[in-house]
Amino acid sequence: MTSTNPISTHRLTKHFRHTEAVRALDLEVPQGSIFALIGPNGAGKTTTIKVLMNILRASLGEAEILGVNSRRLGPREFARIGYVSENQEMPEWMTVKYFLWYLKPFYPTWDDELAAALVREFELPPDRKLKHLSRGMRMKAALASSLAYRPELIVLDEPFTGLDALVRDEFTRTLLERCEGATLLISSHDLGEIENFASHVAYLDEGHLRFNEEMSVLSDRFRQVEVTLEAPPVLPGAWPEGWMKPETASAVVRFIDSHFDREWTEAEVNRVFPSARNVEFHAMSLREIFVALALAGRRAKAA
Amino acid sequence: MRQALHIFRKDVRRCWPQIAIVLALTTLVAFEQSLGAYSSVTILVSTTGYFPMLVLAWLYLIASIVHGERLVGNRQFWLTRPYSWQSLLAGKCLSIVAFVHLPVLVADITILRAYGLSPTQGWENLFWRQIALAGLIVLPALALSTITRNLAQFAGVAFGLLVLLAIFAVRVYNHEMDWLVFSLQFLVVLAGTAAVTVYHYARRRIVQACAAFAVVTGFWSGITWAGTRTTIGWIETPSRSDEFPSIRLALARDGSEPKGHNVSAVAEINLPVQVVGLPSWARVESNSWQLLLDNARKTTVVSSSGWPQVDWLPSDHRLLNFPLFDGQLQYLTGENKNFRLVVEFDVYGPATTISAAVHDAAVSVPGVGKCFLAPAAFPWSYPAIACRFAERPPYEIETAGGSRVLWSTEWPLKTVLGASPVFTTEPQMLKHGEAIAPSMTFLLRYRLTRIRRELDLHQVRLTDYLVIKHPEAK
Repeated sequence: MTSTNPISTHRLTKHFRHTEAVRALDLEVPQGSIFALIGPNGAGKTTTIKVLMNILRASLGEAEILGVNSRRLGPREFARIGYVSENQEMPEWMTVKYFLWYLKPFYPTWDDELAAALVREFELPPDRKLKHLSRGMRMKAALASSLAYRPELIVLDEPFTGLDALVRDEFTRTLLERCEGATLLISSHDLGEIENFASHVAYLDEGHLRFNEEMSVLSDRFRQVEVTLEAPPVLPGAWPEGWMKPETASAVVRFIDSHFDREWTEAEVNRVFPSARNVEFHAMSLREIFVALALAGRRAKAA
Repeated sequence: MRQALHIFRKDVRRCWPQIAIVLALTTLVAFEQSLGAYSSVTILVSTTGYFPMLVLAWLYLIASIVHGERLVGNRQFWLTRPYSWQSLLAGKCLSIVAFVHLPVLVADITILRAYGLSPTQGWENLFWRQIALAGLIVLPALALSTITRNLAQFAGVAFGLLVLLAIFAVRVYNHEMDWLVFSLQFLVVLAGTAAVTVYHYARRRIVQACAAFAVVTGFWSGITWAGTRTTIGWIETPSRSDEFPSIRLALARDGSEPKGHNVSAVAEINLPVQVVGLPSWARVESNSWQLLLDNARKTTVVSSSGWPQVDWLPSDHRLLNFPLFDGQLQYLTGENKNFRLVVEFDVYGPATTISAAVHDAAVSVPGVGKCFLAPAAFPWSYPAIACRFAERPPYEIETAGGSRVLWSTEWPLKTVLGASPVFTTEPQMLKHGEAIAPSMTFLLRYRLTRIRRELDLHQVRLTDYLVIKHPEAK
């Protein structure tokens, strides 16, 4: 398996005893992309990232990170990777300044000026111990220590969890300013934040990859469709593939079309609802798409 | 190496309280152990609580150093940093060498110097003390730290292992060959824990590392549980019977008669035996003896002696006593039978004699070490003498006046891991002649080898040598 992409997986599987956390995952993260890995709790996002980072061992399949099998990731590769996780254990006894000083010799590309600038931008107190920092400050310190050597690949696992809006904003702004040219893999629940900057998005559910595409394609593909009828409708038994989450309110039918194509959708609406008086298409936010997919998944599981 | 040094510097900064405790306790132990050199009364310096406290401090330090970048878990920041496992392990080892091994070496040299003993003379002892420290404390603690998550877990498992050690400890140190079993256990622990440590740092696989640690513990327990005799059966080399061919056993035809008193069992066989062909410069000491009944089908052990250690001089003959119990007597005395006597001897070379004046103060006795006189314990008793060595003497020492063994070579390992590197004999009270003599004569004897000799007794009428216990004897 050889790929030019910074991250590439082939049928990557990870199970813990009787639980399959990740199932036959095929993922390609393109060079220079900002790749968002989204999914509900327990979908397998953190497990996937830990396998990619060689923290956990894959049960089956394989992954390639920066052209190296993830099982063989060593100091040379980690010097090119910046990894920040919300549940990472930090050397809490170190001060911010000592933490950065300590990490410096590990990275040949460490940039002192950049490190100082990051400390300034994040307003990190250099002489305070990590254990005395707030959660947001700790995440900023972790990010500063992971950006100061200009990594080629930045992997962030749930970086926004527990951060207030202001910190989140600072965090994102600095991240985007400083990760120029790097590939960014980010797993998050904060879809509103991700939507603003992600170039690619992958949706993971119960270990399965449900989709993996460019953000713009995804936005184009999903539409909320609102159909106004002449009388309260009776929903048909045969529902076109890709239409999800149907709701009715008096003479209005709302649903989500996951394969939106204006002409095709209009034709299908007219076929399914011959009494349609008006059809409206609304663009959806990533959060709305996420909720729709998660609910559809849950319903399918219940059925 | 630069990365290892960097990790070492970080660990020093992080663990300085533990390091300070270890250094303070090492200094205290060295001071405490050196006190005997300046006291006219204390010959043996007993170890107070400092040494066990130092051992605990070592364990605490080692666990703290390793847990700085612990291997168990998947949330540690260092897992995704460019650490090389070799540098990480080297950094940890550097800390341990600098703050456990080096201070012990300095303390040992200080103690030896305090007693006027030369560290260069005892370098072998100092070296083996470092190896013993590594094998008995440092490596097991290091391996245990790598497979535990935190100090509480480390302490819990360590306590469990100490309980296991205490349970099994009653089975060791009660046999003259225990040193051999101890050596085997030491090798198992040394190699096993080193392998677990290196493997876990290289591969970071907790289940396999824990299993390997359990196997090492199991091996150690198995060897201990099997006991010394069984273990020796696996590893002991046969006695070198082909050496000193002139030395033989013979039945003494004259002299000793069977004795009719002090019979401990129902009956006793008293065989008058002589060692012949002994070179005039040599001395042999029997180590074990067995009497076997030899018939066409099989050889059966009739009896063996529980107290076999006897000095044999040229042209000496002795009665070897074999106790018999119920049931054996009738079986053995019916008709003439073939018997075989098997004896193992330690052969000693010629003794070196050294005289020295030891009455005034502690003086160096060339080839022995330093000897001291302790004041008499009671007004009517004589002073006692004890000697100290920078290394374990390879010979046995006797004082010529009383023929008392001051040091024995039964435990031939080069060192013991304790608070002090000094080997000190038990104080021996002088006999009258020695107490008033201006100088003391020491005899140094080197053990050359162990040999095995057999004596076939054909068609022996055992009643000739049999002593029946008198019914009224208690």
